[in-house]
Amino acid sequence: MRTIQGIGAAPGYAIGLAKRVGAELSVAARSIAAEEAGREAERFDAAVAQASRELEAIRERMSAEGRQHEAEIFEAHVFLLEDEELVGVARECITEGLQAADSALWETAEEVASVIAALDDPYLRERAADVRDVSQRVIRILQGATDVGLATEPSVVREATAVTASASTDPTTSAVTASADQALSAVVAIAGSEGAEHSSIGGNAGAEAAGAVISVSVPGHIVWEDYLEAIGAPLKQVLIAEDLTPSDTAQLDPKQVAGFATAVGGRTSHSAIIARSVGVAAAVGAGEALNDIKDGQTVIVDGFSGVIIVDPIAEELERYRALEAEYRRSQAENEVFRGRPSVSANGVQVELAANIGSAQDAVQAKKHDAEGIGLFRTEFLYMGRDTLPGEDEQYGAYRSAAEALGPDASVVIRTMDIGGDKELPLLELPREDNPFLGYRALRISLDRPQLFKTQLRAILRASAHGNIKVMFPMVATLGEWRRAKALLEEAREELRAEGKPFRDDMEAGIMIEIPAAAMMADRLAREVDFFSIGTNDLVQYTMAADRMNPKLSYLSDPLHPPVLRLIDRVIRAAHAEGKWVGMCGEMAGNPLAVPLLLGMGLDEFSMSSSAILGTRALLSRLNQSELAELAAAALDLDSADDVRALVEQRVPQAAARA
Amino acid sequence: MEKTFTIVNPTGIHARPARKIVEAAKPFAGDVHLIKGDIRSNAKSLVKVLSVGAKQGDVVTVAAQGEGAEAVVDAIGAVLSSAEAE
Repeated sequence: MRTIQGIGAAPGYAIGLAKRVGAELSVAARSIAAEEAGREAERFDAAVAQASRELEAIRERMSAEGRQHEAEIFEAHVFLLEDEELVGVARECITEGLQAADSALWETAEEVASVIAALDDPYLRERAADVRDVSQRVIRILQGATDVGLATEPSVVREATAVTASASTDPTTSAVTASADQALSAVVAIAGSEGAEHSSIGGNAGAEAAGAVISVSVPGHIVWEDYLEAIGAPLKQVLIAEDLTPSDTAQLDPKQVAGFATAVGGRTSHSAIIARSVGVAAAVGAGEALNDIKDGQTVIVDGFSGVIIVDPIAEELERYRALEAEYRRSQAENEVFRGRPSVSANGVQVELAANIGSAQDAVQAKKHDAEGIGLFRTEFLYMGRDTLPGEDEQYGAYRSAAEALGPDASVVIRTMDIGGDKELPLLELPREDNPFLGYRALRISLDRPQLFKTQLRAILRASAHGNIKVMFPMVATLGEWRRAKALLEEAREELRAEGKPFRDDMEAGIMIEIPAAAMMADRLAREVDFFSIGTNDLVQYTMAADRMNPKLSYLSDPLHPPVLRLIDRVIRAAHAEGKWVGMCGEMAGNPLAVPLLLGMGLDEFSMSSSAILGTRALLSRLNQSELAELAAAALDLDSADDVRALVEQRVPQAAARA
Repeated sequence: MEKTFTIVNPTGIHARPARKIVEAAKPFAGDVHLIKGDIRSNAKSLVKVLSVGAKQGDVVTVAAQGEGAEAVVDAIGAVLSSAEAE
């Protein structure tokens, strides 16, 4: 057994047989005679045209299968084949530089790709892979190679298993996907040969595919039913590659491929994104250690931790089989909660909402079954433009977010939170030594009432189209809240005078993210309609620790008892006045925090959309009245570690999801 | 004809906006460039637009000459200053 550490890129566990993909192309620099140039350029044009047709065909297939992300990748590839600085320059290298077509394109592509690969943005760096992928497609056509894509047709698989050992390493056959029958007979063979330990790929060439299964052999007794179940019949592949090209990943068939591991890449690689959308586990960036993996070895890829295990011992295989089954079960369980109310085991209902940054995000939130929007960050409407967004533009954005969620869904719109780490050059804000403690958010809005009132009018007008609420960020004092409320009242009066519709009873609340506001929550609660606790800033201000400073990460933990005490205080203060309390920081979707927050009586949990179904499933297994005691106990502990240990011990169903 | 824009999109100029820039630039007869720092990049080439590596908050100048220059500069500027998510 060997363990390799990669980066977890797509959740899940892949257990299967290694299949190496992606043969390296070799292109020798070669020059041509001047009289050949015209013909070589024509050959090049024809290859580009053929590549374009191939890509178009794949794009159509992806689109027909509803795999939109993949379809877009191939659309981009077709676009690259028209790029004057790639294909255009390569053609000049043929006609003027007198280079052979394949080496002309190879060199041009490398030059272009190396510039992109050197950018400091990880997402953009990945685009170098697109340039190389599309160029290699053309080069393969020029070199007369056949399709090197993954075999996905079962007929190909059957053919491949019939051929000899050398064929299974040939990338064009690409199929160690032994069918369940073959795996079965192979495992029976193992079971028959007592004590077969780590038999590597044997000399039995005629049974190479089956031999590959034998190489899986694990010390200890193996019962073949267990084994098949462990790896999931039909036997699946785990792809191993230097890097999977978009062509490889887009054609990846989850029925045959359990997951993959690559030597290079990061979480934003195409391959990682596609793995997440197709639903197979993946680890990337595992380095050269992958080179030693042979076709047919048993491989486990842990898509969470990024660990890749080659030839696992029986205990490890067993452990991962259990994890895999549990993961599948929880995924299926989460789906069951789609469309259901968010209710605890003892019948306490809360609201699960999403945090969004644009009207488009609201559509995603709806897809993930969010019941509302707990935080609409409006600052993106303002940032990086020559003019401020007008009332109508803002109105349109807020209205479409509300309409995406439906007429009854609560949509909390937070007025702009500029400042801190979010700059707005247009306002010509002075540079500050300490921007997080500076002129930001509501402090700016109150100082520039015209700017603020434009936004308030837009929010009020949008409230005619849904259950919109307004929320003010960074309130430290009652005075700030009262001034904001007075400006809201002015905006109401103006609209009324103009005869423009708005919701008369639109709720107005505040974020609780400054300890001063948390301490005054009892007074604030008499005047506001609701609180929403912003834990990211609340933790940073309470612990006096910059959350971006990795040396201080031990302080940036929302489970610290002082933070929990403030949250508890805020919830009690609101409930004493009959007001509701939400939370829109990262803590609200944290499985270890959810039991405590439920125990304290939090009413609304707002999180990233993708966490909603899982949180609803967790809620259904929590008993709110028991958790009230747990929360009280947590407030009395000494440290965040003690709190974590308490929750892990008392609420194992939450710990399992953390 | 030159105008300067600030990148608003939190993800910078990624694949989709880069393509929109190229699509806006291509119909223009003359040269169109994106300028960031000392580097001028051909706005009609996707690989060059990606190579700009523009991030949120970066300032990028769009330059074009000749008839219709203002229109093409504004069209590209609209993409640069759009906050539309990927």
